[in-house]
Amino acid sequence: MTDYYHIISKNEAGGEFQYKLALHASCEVYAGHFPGHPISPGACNLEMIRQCVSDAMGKNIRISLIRQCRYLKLVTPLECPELELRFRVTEMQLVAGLYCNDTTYVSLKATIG
Amino acid sequence: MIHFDREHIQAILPQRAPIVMVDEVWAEDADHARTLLSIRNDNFFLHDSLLLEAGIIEHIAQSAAAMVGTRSIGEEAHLGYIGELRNIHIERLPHIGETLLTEVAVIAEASGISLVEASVTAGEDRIAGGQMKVFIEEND
Repeated sequence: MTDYYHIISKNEAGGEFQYKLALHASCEVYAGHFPGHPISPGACNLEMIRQCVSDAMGKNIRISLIRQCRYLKLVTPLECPELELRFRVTEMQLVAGLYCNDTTYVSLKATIG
Repeated sequence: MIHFDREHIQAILPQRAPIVMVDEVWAEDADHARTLLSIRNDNFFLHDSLLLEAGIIEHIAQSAAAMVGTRSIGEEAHLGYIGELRNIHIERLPHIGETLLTEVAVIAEASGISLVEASVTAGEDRIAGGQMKVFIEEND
């Protein structure tokens, strides 16, 4: 998954990480998802979250169990060029939310390893 | 049994390159199907020669989409989205050269939302399993 997004900024306070992210409307994935209707694949947003958590943890993490991942609104690179990801990890339990303009688009509870 | 191979899967699947994650589908009936995906080195979801968790999830979603697609052969493929993932266990990440064989079954359905149970295997190994809600759009 190349050229899907980049990290604008990141910080951490009290165990909660905040990543500001920019989606790339030019990513080749939109040629196929879907032709003429660029919609950010839910799977890509899961991988974007996994990469940011890996960045925060300082190692490549695996997701062993997705307890619940809710896709509450459709993300598109035109409507949501910038996203905010907030997450915390407690004893290998990841709780994450992906927001655009303070609206929740994706919520995730997972076990990582 | 309805079968679409790699050359014809686009008739029932709305996704296009580089994100086509099902090669073939065999639909037993409207609510049960098996799919196949060979993991090639040009897959969009590779990292260090392994198919990422996201690739497994997208494969399950497209397996469900292909199953639903076999219900309306001849129509333009309906767009579909993941609504929710529930208790999806990922046992290991498969590598380039492996072939995923996946079973999907509809366990509940209401107004364009299907709750699907999926089981993904590679050879003798269980790769992943769990539930997914998918939204299928009506065509205009």
